[in-house]
Amino acid sequence: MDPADRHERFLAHFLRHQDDIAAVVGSMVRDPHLREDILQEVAMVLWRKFDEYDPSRSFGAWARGIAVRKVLQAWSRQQRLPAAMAPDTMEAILSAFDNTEAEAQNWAEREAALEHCIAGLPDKSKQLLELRYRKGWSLQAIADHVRSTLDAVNKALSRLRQALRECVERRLAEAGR
Amino acid sequence: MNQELLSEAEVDRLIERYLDGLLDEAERAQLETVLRASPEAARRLAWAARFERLLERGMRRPASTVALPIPPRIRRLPFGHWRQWREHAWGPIAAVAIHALLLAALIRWVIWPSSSRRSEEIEITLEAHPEPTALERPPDMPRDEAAPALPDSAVVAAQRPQIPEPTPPPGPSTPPLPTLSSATGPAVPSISHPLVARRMGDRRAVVEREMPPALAAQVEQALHDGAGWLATRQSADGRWREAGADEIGLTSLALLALSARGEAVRTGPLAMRFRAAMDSLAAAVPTNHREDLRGMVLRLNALADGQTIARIPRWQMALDQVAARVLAAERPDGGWGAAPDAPDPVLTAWAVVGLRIAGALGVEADRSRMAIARAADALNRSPNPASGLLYYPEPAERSAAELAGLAGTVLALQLAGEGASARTARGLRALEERWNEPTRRLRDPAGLEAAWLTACAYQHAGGAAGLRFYARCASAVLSGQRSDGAWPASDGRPSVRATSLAILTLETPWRYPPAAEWPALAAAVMSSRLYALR
Repeated sequence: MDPADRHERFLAHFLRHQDDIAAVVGSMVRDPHLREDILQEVAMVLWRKFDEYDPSRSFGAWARGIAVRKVLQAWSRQQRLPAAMAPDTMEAILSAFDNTEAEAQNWAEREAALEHCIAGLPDKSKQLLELRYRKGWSLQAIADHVRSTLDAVNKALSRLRQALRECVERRLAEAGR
Repeated sequence: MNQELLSEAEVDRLIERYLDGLLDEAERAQLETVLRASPEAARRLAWAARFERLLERGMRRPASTVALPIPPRIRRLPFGHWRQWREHAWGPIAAVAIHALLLAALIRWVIWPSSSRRSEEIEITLEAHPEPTALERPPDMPRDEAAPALPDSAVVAAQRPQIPEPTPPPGPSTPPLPTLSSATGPAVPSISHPLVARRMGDRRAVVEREMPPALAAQVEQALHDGAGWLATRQSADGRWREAGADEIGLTSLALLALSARGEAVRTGPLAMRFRAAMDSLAAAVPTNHREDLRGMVLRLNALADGQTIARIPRWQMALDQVAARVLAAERPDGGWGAAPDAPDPVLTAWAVVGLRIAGALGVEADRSRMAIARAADALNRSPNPASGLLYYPEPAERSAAELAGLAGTVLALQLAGEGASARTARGLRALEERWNEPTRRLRDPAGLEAAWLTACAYQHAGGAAGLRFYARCASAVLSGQRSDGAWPASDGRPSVRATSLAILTLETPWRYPPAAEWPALAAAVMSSRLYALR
């Protein structure tokens, strides 16, 4: 394969699936720094092993499989076994990602819908999302900042995510009509 | 417990708390049980994780409209303000003057002297430190006339590079070796990289004194004859060829063996052969974009080892490239090899040795450290019986290939910093027990590589067991040498591969210091800045 062609094909696959790969790693690893390290490693391995990828199969499934292996290696390296998930649980999560891959292709539409939904939120809610997802603060830091409890912040964020999920689904359904 | 006992709302609550990092141990166990038992719960987590990713992505996007500050209007300075301008002009004028001085100094001291150097044949050598520490003290080098003499035929051949090729290889004809410079080494006095200092001068004699004198003399003679035979088998283009062997891998192996001769390779009669082989390896380009993995890791070893003897920029570039290729060929779960289930311990050992030497030269040091740690991890977890560690003490008998795998595992772990681990110690004990009847073992095609790997593992471990093994193994290797200096392959014919591996095995005590000393050596080189471009 011509190197430029290889690069182009890899990028096309990778860009289409990178969010799903990040999501599967995020579903297993909660430490944002470790998650970033793993994603870097996964991207490097995918690029190096791209010649071994069988185009007749799903790139996403292949990439997610490698990502899960990298998660296992990272836990093993860090010897953080109490924080690690059981392999059976990881397999169940991986299957769930594989089974719902087809429904999760429309990241761009979802993002556009989300942007619209966030725009309609009150300022306090926007500020909460900003602290959690733009600045990457921990829940404890947010609770200290807004002088509240962990549980209260968790409940507020849960309600917010639930409302946004429903809003996004509603907008996608409307757009599909 | 399964999901039937938990409502959807309860599962969602657990997932939300998990995503926010608030689960305690009991809740975590509960969530894991539910995820395993219920595909629907796993699906909900997958969607929640996807939505979280979407939120991160959406929130980190830059705002579509940004209010830019309006710059203040710039007013043109009227001529009447000339006095104010003159009062404030000294600052910029002084800044311009200082910059001009700095530029002049740069041209005088940096650009001009470097452009006046010879651009070809720049070597990086070690300069003697004004006050060297014990670790950095240079060895006293023998003069060329004091170097061990090769047989007349080999010396004459070394002085005339256009020798007739002894066995024309099948395939395309080889181009003639271009005329080499008559210079055989740097004109300035230089000492070697600490990793190879044991092969040179007085340090060589120090190592020799630790061995029984009769054995040391026999080994020295065998190494001399073996290297001489290897030199006569080199093709005009610097390579070695043998039926059925990968050309790059074989050349790398022979070059590694040739460099056992230390001074003779750097500035003595073998210098031109060494340089021709290094040039050939530096220029090697795999024709089908799929370089043989074994050839690749051997090439890494040969280029890295060669760079410790004489550091030349064009070799350095090739070393950078091949180190990157070896790192890129790492298996997804660590180590090297083509098998789907586990790394190949022999290939992994070669790769780890090569990367450690390259790392000591400052090539891909950080990436290599991570890759070596992953390789050790993969070997520790490996279900491959050849690794020998998980299966020890069974089975009682092992083939030479399995011994090579076991020794390769131990060697890789030692160089990964796990030399003191119980597992490595267990592997060394297993090797000692399994290396019975070395002469019979060496008749196996994999026997010599197993012997070399085992000798290296013992060298890095140090202690009496290492000397015991070396004495036993060296006697067996010496008994196999032919009268012309070569070692035979399993079919009885003289072989470049067998001779190279036999030389490497015999030369183990002189080759590299034990692994535990490497970090201190590398730190000494880096901190004293001795290893400088001349």
